[in-house]
Amino acid sequence: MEARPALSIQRSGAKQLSNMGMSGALSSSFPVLPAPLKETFPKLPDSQRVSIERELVTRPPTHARHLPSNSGLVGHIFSSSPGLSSDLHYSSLSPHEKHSRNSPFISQSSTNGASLPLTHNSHSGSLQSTTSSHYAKENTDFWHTDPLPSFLDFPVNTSIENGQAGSNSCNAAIASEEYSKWADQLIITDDDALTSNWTELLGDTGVMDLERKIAYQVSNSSPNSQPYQSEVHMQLPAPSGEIVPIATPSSSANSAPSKPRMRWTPELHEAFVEAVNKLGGSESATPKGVLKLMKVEGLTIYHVKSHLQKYRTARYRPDSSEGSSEKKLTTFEELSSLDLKTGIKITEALRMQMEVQKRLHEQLEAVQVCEHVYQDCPFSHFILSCWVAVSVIMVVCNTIFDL
Amino acid sequence: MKFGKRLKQQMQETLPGWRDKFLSYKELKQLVRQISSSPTQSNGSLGYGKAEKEFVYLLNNEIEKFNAFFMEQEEDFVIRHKELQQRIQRVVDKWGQNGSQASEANYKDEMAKIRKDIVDFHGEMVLLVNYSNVNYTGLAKILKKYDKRTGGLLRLPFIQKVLQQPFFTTDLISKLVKECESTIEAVFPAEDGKKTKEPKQTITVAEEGIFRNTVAALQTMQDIRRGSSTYGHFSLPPLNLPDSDLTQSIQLNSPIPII
Repeated sequence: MEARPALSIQRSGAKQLSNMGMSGALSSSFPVLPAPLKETFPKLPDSQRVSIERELVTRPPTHARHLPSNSGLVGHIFSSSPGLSSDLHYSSLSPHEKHSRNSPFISQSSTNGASLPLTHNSHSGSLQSTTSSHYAKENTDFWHTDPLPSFLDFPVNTSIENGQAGSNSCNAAIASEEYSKWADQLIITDDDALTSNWTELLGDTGVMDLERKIAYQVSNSSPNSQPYQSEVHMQLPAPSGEIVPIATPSSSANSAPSKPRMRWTPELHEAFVEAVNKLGGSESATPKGVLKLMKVEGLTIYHVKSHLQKYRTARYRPDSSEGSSEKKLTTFEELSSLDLKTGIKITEALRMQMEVQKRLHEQLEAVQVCEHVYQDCPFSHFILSCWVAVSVIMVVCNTIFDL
Repeated sequence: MKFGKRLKQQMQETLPGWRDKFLSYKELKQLVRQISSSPTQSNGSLGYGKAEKEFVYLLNNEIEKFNAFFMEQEEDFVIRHKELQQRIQRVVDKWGQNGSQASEANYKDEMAKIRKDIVDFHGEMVLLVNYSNVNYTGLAKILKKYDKRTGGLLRLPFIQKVLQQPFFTTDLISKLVKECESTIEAVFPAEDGKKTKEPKQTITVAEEGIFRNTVAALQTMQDIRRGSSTYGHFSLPPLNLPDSDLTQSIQLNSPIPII
């Protein structure tokens, strides 16, 4: 798990401290301590980064489990890209940066020495060989050995779109030229291990439909258009199995394994609502359509689908957010306001409720600031450690010069 | 009162769907005890005992749990926030003074519903911030315990990591809370005459709900800030804190049984 390397680094720092003794050796141990810490820090947000990366690519949980050896590699890829996670904040993504989004991704991986030339057209050839060799490596017991044609014959109608079956819509699902080219090479390769990976990778039904669609399109190889560029583009690195932000064993063991987590901001939601309205309202809008209109890089149909579901619920049951439990609460609230012995009117009760809530929020905000700045500010710790180091050096110097 | 007990109370008082989303403080404490009781490797290797592995594993899992829950709630709040505003607009447009079907009765009726919903909504958001705070505090405490008991240096890097986690970054929620407050003030202006009518008698909040939870949370916060170590009953003795007059007049109807 990602914390383990961090722990080991920390421990080594601690052990060195204790071995050398705290007093005189403190100054010399300090160069040691921050360095491991520096290594540690970028690694530590891995879980967050991994979850962000998971959002990038919709991958089924089975994929995570079947490629355990990748976790180290993936971790390695991301360990030196601390800025990447901020890049991947969805609300600020622009639609037109197709490859630019991937390139920091990829260039990081190449700097890290991972052999993943997954980038533009020119590399697709090498990619294919890389991936197929990779898949050969990864070919273990649990890969299925379904033949290629049957895989591609899977019906295209998916649950994701509402009844939009047929080759026309499938054609529209194809993303970029690069993708189809690369995928063509992938599929044409007639590598059993490779093809069998597809069936295994697409274990999850939800994503599977989408993937089938894409693969089906690949075989037709009609690379036209815009619409799903962003969507499928995000799928581009996925099948390679290496850049995919596979959940590390610890996170994949969670209750909600690789459920892509997206942080919805009001701005993003605005864009969503606009798209929905353009498509005729929440009932008639489809996730696919909304995704198409929104043109947000990194947003997957999975995100849109779940958000649309929430949106529909919120609109048609305005007094309940998450189903029946909320509804019960509102009934209780009504009862409690009727129960008030003083017979205060509901408005007064609400006013008081607001007061309590406001006060609580004020206090929470104050505490939050304190915690952030006072207790755990790394800068203050750094300053403190510098100060200690300097004073120790001075003491040592004094001692030396006194001799 | 010890944090563990306070946490239990909060969990008890919280909204039902949230109860299992809080920090497994007790479990983590047990693991720390296990770690410190079993001797560390004498060969100086970086091997980790089973308990330590479990501890770190659980910590990471907890953080994932918080993040998932928090972001889910946040998403809901973003949606509901917008919806409430649109709802208000629709009601004003339809039943308001200059609306298409101006009708005072309907207007008042609809507005009353909206008012209730928006106040509850506000409360829920504040409770989510509270949730974040409580869990953060728990994490900080357990890490401190760990470092103290085992001599490890887990706390600092871990807390750094936690500070960046989605569940801790409550800025958006706070912003929504403030916007909600201003909406309420704008749409339901406080009537000055009635403001002086502070109820002298205590009000009993009987049922489960957002109000009860926020009261409990507020009282807990005051407790923490007061630094009191004794906490037996939910009705607070008179204090000189500015909030005391408010919470003094509210009482949860039964002391929470401490399991």
